[in-house]
Amino acid sequence: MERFLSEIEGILKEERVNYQKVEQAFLVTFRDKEIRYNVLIFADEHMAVIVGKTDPPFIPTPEMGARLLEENFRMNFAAYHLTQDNEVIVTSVLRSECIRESFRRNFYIVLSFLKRLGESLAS
Amino acid sequence: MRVLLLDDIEAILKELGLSPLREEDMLVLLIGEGGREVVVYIIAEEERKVAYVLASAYPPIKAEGKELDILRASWELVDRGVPCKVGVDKDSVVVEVDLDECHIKKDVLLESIYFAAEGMLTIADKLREGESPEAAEGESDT
Repeated sequence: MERFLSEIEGILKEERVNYQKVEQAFLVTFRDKEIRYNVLIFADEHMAVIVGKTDPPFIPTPEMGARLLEENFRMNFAAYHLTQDNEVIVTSVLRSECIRESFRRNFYIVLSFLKRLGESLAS
Repeated sequence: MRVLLLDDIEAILKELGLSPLREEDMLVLLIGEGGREVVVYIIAEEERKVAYVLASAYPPIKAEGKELDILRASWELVDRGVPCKVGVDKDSVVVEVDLDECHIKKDVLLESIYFAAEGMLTIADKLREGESPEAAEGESDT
């Protein structure tokens, strides 16, 4: 598990991403205008998971829910979901053994999904 | 001659004892459990070396009016270790697992087919739970 975490840490450093190590995970936060974006990354020996959300949270209407489901179909390697608190989150999952090949792409796709939420929140 | 990704996937599935149908540029599997059926499609994007494992209920489930329940059910799936994404194509619910070249291996392919099919069956059950008995009865008559 440590090997996969240090691979992720290496990629975050290469990409010059500011992160905090929180126990066995990495927390990436950044702000754009009024929206804060939080991304948590963790990995075990099988899977690496990237989870992102906005602050303030994105609470969708049914119409927005329909749009998010269409985007889930159209876009790849990440997905919108709705938590029990009615907050939209973005996830991306990859095999830990593929971190070197796939993590960078999935991380940026999660950011792109989050930015879309942020743009909707701001409009 | 370059070996196509879809050929590789077909060979792996056959090695696993599965018998996919080859329909032009996709592989199709019909998976049944307890009288419920799921169609699994595997599509490859050869240039990008990416494959998509998609599951759809048979007959397809309509998303209209249930979008938030579907998004909520998709989080429950991920939260219990079934990583997949749930989308809608032409108002029908589709569960998908995306695989790049690194992920196209025997065990991951089999797991992805399971995740997509299990995800679809779970979503179908969740949506039926939320229906009124009359609506559920109406659906079974069609």
